[in-house]
Formats: sequence, C-alpha cells, structure tokens
Amino acid sequence: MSSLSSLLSNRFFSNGVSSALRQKDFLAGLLFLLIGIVVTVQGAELAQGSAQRMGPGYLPLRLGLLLGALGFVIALRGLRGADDPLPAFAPLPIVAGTVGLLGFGFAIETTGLVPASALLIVAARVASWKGARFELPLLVLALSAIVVLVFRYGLGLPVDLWPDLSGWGG
Amino acid sequence: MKRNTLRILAGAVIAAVGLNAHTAFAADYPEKPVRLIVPTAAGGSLDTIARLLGQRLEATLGKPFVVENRAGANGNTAFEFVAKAKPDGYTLLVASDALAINPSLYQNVNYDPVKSYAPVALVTTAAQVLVVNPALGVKDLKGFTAVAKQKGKGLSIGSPGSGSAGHLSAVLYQAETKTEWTHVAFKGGGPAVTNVVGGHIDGLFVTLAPAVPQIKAGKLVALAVTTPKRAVALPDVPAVGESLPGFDVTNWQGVFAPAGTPAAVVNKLNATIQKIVAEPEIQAKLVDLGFETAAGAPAELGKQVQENFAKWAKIIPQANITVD
Amino acid sequence: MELLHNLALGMSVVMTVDNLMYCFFGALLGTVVGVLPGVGPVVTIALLLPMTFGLPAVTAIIMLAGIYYGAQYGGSTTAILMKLPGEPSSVVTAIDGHAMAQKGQAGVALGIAAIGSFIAGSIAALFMALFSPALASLALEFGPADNFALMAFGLIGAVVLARGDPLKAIAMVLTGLVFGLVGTDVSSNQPRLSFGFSSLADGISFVVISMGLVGVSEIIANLERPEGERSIQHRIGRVWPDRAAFAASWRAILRGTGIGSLLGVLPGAGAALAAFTAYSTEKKLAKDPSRFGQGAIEGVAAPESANNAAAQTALVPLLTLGLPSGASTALLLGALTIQGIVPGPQIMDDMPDLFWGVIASMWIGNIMLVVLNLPLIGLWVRMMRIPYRLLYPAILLFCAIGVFSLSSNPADVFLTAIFGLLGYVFIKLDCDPAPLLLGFILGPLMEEDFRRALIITQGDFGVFVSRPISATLLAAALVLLITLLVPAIRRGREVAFQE
Repeated sequence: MSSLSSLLSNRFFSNGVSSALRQKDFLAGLLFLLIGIVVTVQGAELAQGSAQRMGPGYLPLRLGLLLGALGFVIALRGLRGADDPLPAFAPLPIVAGTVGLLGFGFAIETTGLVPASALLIVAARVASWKGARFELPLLVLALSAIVVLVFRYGLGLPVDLWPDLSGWGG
Repeated sequence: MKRNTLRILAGAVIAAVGLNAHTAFAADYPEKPVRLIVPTAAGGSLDTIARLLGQRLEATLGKPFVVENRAGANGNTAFEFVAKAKPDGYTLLVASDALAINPSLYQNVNYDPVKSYAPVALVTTAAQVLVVNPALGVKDLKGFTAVAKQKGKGLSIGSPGSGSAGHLSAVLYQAETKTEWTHVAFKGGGPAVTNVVGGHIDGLFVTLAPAVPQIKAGKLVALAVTTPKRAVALPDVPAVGESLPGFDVTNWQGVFAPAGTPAAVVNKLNATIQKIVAEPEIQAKLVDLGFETAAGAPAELGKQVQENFAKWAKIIPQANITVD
Repeated sequence: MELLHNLALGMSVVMTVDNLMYCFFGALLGTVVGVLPGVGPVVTIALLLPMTFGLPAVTAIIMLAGIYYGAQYGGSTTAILMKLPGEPSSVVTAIDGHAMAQKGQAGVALGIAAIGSFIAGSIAALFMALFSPALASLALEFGPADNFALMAFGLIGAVVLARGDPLKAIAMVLTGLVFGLVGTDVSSNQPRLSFGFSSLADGISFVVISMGLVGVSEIIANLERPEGERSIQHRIGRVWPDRAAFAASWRAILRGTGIGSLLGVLPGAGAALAAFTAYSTEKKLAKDPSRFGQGAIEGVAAPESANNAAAQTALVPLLTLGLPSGASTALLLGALTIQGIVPGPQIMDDMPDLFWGVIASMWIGNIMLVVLNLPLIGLWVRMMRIPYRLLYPAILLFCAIGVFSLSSNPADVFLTAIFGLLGYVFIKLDCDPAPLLLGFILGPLMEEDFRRALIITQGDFGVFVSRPISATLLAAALVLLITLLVPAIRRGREVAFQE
C-alpha cells in the first residue's frame, strides 16, 4: 500500500490526473480489468461445481478474477511507470475499417452480393477520398464484377447477387 | 428479424401491385439452383450425405444443388432458417434426429419439428454401438451390466457430446438397467473412440463409422447396437433389444422442405431421392459411412419425426439431463 | 527394404500423367483461391471440394492434396503480404513475414516459406514412411491429462513468443482463454458468455477473431499513417532468397521440421502448437531475440516448416484413427470418406496402396507447390504496387465475403468488425495479439481435457503427476514459467528499490 500512496503522489499530484489517465499501460490495465469484471459476473451466474468436478462457470469465474486482478496490477504499474501516453485515435480510418463490414453484414442477406459489396467499398473509402470522383465508381464496378465472377460463378458460393423480388407476392 | 420484416413488406407491395409470383410446377422444378442447408460444419457425416445427395440430384435434375453449412446453436440455427424459408422447394434441409430431439433439450427453440416442415424423404438410418476396451474383460451385454453395477461411478463411459444420440442411448440404458456410471463428454466420435482404444475411458455409445474399423481390428469389443434389428455392418453384434425388449435408439437422416412446399415438388424430390439412394454405388458409400439406406415415402419420414419427438419429450425430462 | 517398398508403392499409385496434371491443377486453384485476402484454407478447401467429387478416388485425393497445400501456402502468402492470417499457423508467419515485407523483403519471405515447406514436407514424408505404425500408437498414448499438460506447456510458450511486456502478454493469453470459452460448454451443454446471442452459441470462429484482430486492425492502423509509412508499400527489394538467406534459415527449417513432425502426430492441439512452438524455440535460441518481430527470417522459416511437417504427419492420426487436427483436416477427412476411404487402424495393411498413395500424393503436392509458386512470387510481390487506396477496399471486401461464407451467417461479419476495432485498440495499447490467439485456440481444449481427466479419475488430481507424459510436460512447463518470470520479477524489484 505504501507503493500505492507513493505512486499517487508521483503521478496524480505532480503531473495531474488527466495525464495519468492517458498512460498506455494504465488504460490497457483498465481494459483487462473491465473484461475481467464482465467475465466474472457472467461466470458467477453459471453452475460452479468443484475443482474435482468443474461446472460450466468454474473456469470463467476464476479466469475473470485473475484477468481483473492482472488488469489492476498493470494499471497501477502504468501510473507508476515512465510517461508513455496513448497515441490519438483516428476516427475516419475506424469508420472505414468497421462501418463497411457492418453494412455488408446487414445488407448481404436482403440486398444480395452486389449492393452489399458496393456499400462496403463506398464506406471503406471515407478514409481516403483522394481521386474518389472518378475512381470510386470504377472501383465499385470493377470489384463487384470480380467478386461476382470469382465467388458466385467461379466458386459457386450460395448467395444472391441482387435483391430477390421474384416470389414475395405468393 | 429485419430480414423478415423486409420480406413481408416487399411481399405486401408486390401483392398490392398485383404481380403474380410464379408458382412452382413440378414439371419445371427446379428452374434455378437449390440450396441444401446442413446444420453441421463441413466435413461431418451428415455433411457428407448432403454432398453425396446434392451431387447426384444435380446430375439427375439438371440444376445445381448447393450444400450450405449453417452450423450453429447445435443445429437450431439451420432448423430455424429452413422453417422460415420460402416454401418453394429451393431451400431444403438435410437433417438428422437432432431435429426431433433438440426441442426437448433446449428451451429457446423457434421451430416445431412436426409442423414447420414438409418431410421430403428419409435417406438413411443408423445405429449406435456400445463398444468397450478389451481390458474391461466384458464379452457381452450381460457382463457389461454386471460390471456397471459392481463398479458404479468407477466405470467411465464416453459420448461424442452432451445431448448427442450416444449420450441419450447411455441415459436410456442406465434407466432401463438401473445402473449409474460416470459420463465423459467428448467433442465428436473420433476423439471419443480413440480414448476408449487408448484405455483412457472404459467404453462408449457411438455411431458406427468411427467404431467399426477399430472393432474389426480387435481394439474394441462391440457389445450391442441400439437399433431394434442388428446392423448390416456388424451382423454378429446383437441388438440391445434382444435382451432388453423395446430398447430402441435409431438415428435417421432425411431431407425436409419448409411447410407449405407444393406437394408436386415434394413428390418429385422424393422420387428422385429414392432412385438415388437405390444406386449401388451410393448405397455402398453410405454403408461405408456407417448408415443403412432407408428411402421411403414422405409420410414415413413424418412418422419418424413425430414418434422421435414424442419419445424424447418423455424421456429427457425424466432422465434430468442438464442442458440450458 | 520396407521403407523403399512403401514409398515406391505410393509413387506407383500417383505417377501418371493424369494424376500429375490434376495435382498441379489442384495446387494452382488452391493457391489462387487461398491467396485471396480473407479466404483462409478452410473456406478454400470447402469451396473447391465439390470439384473433386466426380473424379476417380486416387485422382481425387491427389487433386485434394494439391488444393490442401495450395490453400495453406496461399494463406501464408496473404499472411506475409497483407498480415491477414486465416489459420492458426499463419498467425505466427504473419509476425515476421509481414515485417520482412515492410522492409522490401516480401519475395525473400515467400521464397523461404515455399522452400522451407518443401524441405519439411519431404523430410516428414520419409519420417512417416519409417515410423507410421509407431506414430499411430503415440497418438493413442495421449489421454486427457496428457493433452492438458501439452497445452499448458504450449500456452506458457506463447508468452515467450510475445513481444514486449510479459505481464501484458499473460493478460492477453487470459483474454484469449476467455474468448475461447464463449459458446456452449462441452460437458454440460450450457451456453456461456454468449450474452444470449444464438450466433455465439457455437463459439467464435478462429477465422473471425484472427481476421479482425490482426487483419482489419492493421488496415485501420495503416489508414491513419501518412501514405509513405504504410505497412504495405511499393518498395520491392530482392525477389529471391539468396545464399545468405539460406545460411540464416536452414537450421530453423530443420528444427521446425522436427518440432512439426512430432507435434503433428498429436491430434487436437498438436498441429496448432507446431508453428507457435517452432517460433518460440527460434526466438529462445537466437543470439539476439529482439530481431524477432522486426523481420527475422528464422521467424518465417521455422513456423512455415513446422506447419507443413505437421500437416503431413497429421495424416497418421487422420488416416489410422479418424482424428482431424483442425478444421481444414476435418474437411479433408470428409472428402476422403466420400471417396470411400474409411480411416481405421487397418488402413495401412488393408489398403496400403491408398495409404501410401495419399502420403506420396501429399509429397507430390509439395513439389507442385514449389514449381508453381517460385515463379508466382514475382507476381504476388508486384501486386503490392497497387496503390493502397485501391487495395484496402478490396481486402476488406474479400474478408467480408470470406468470413460470411464460413457458415452464411452475417453475425460473423459483424464480429469481424468488432474484433477489428478491438485489435486497433490493442495496437494503440501496445498489446500483441499473438498470445491472445494461441490462448483462444488452446483455452477450450485445455478446459475440456482438464475436466475429463478429473471426471474419469473422480476428482483425483494425482492423475496429472502419476502419468509419465503428463508429469514430464508439466515439469517442463514449470521450468519455462520460472525462466520467464524470474527476470521480470527481478526487474520489478529493481524498479521498486529505485523509488
């Protein structure tokens, strides 16, 4: 506990709380702590059994506790360690990398492969609009054509290409 | 959820405009590729049956029959998917008895094994076989029961998975003989059989495919099969029913369509599948896989499902198998 | 000579013009499809399987061998060039392989991977010809307690393999174990950590978690860098490995081959452990372990050789016991049964032509791979000249389709996006995903085997020390753990004293 007070005096009071909260290790520790807590809570709801005859919740509960404890230690050490701030997050690349995938997932079974692919490509390009004016439509056309040829016709992947409107009336 | 709302919306729009969707006529069927939904990952024995069937259906009916693996939630994902699919004959289900057993094992099952489907054709049936390591020193079922009574929890009997047919066979056997042993669940028949051969557990109820080669090599002793009649692949192994009258765990594999599929389409598929299953080459392959061919009228499959469903709905709650 | 006789028998089965053509065709298709980003070996094999159904049994198996190796090598290619691992083994290859590609040595990395794989495949084939019956019984010796011990050993090795802080690496292993537990508990059949989502009831697919954590996160990280610093660059150095590259990697290839040949025989976790163990071994033996992760050529040569050797020797439990070592060999097993090959202990005696034919065809598949891929390397490397703004939407799209085609489930695509974001956070926090992925693979297997061991012995913990295999492996794991932790603790103390 003496180390706790020493680190509190080191970081919190000399550099300020906000700088402490931006430490890489501190945040990594928090993330592990958070995952540990979620897993512990979930694991506690399941049958525990005993070490000799483990129930489904035995390992999750203990792994969760261990992970949480380790996260706590890493976070404390982060407060104490050298200044190593978290780099900034870039919002556009995050959108480009994830929104397109989410859109594809939502679209693939209702609209079919071609619109879903177009959606993903357009969403992906938000991170780099350079040359998008002519390039983007061409890229959509070219990539859609490639995936249709390769996956649908070449490999026989069972997926519709377009929204299936045929039999919905009856 | 979203997808169904969209479908209903779109359906309403099309109906309002007065477009008439094409009705599937048996003579024209199939006009486009047919999806064969399989509730397991690629590579398993049910998947193999589906692929064998799909390949021959494609050759006979002239349109692709594409196997689509929708493994998930112990098969329930695929069962629900087909239950909700458009009943036009272009989405079919290749399922096993898990279809009839799951509603008794799991709470959130969103399909009715009897009402959600139009049975198309029974393809195969299969037995489970009780095998033990030779070191257990048991030669027949009577000896096995005696050892089970004497060893109690000291006897370890595996299964290819909790809630699998092998597990259920064991549960039924224990109930009938008033024995109680230690159940060890594995992930699949292959690993479970290997553990019996390696002497890590004493015995196992399992499908024929992984067990027969080991039985023939003398590494396992086969005590009994769970079907009422002896299995073609193991003619010297008695049925459990010979000493415990009425004991019957028969696995089956069949093809289903969503309920409401036109009878003409179902009948055309049924006739084609019956022909395919009768081909000697296909029959030989199915027997190699540990199955016995059993193609029959759609109603036979319907009856099988109904009887199975009723039976397990009674036994599973009694046996208190902890699932969910 | 029985050895020569067996190999000659196998060769006589496969050596016809037709068979060689199909083998080449299979290797070509496997490579070309497997190299598509996002399409791992499992998806490749599943998609290409139907093409072999119409062929005679032997020809079909030979084509399958080509597809299998082609898909694996194609997968390594994307792992090296684009950091998109589709199989446990390529997670390891991606670490130093991609670092080499960033330094303009993509061609050297691909070349060493191909040559190392070929050497490993050839030695493993000989090894099998000599020892197959013994190897088959080795797999039988491993009971649940022994399997558990093997995996515990492997898991501690995962911490060795991690870059940077051991505490964080241990936390990542634990996180991986937790992700691995998501799904349905094997013993009780209860859903856990699935938060009520039926899509999680069968657990998270390896392809999903690895594509997301390693691949998608890399794309996000690349996009935020200025164009000149992106990890996929236009820089192309040497296309072929030179004498120095061989001199630096031949020992790693041989060690990898040895490790892979042995671990491949152990069903379950063996094959997945092979690449990880080979990599950790090289890192431990290296004079300067800090080169690992920065593009050490041994870091590509060892896991690729180990993986290929394991893929070959894994055929022994596959054919004699029907035990697949992973998702792609499970598919192979299905394909073999469709062709009428039923695995069993007698397969070597009853169907020697088939058994040795399969092994010979795997070796031929390896030759085809080298013949095909050495010339292709130039082409793959040139693909890196495509501007990144055109390349990354394509990578993401292929990833989405590849992941979706696993089980036609859109939820898998959503999960890939979520893991992509998490992977990006891990990059920012300096947390290496490789230990997480190994924990993910081994966690559920370890838990199951631990429980089985105790269920069978009715709760007797002595089983872990009374069985020689288990006791040896656990002791080794303990020693490894101590060598790992002692420096870390000492460092921690020094820091404490300084304050």
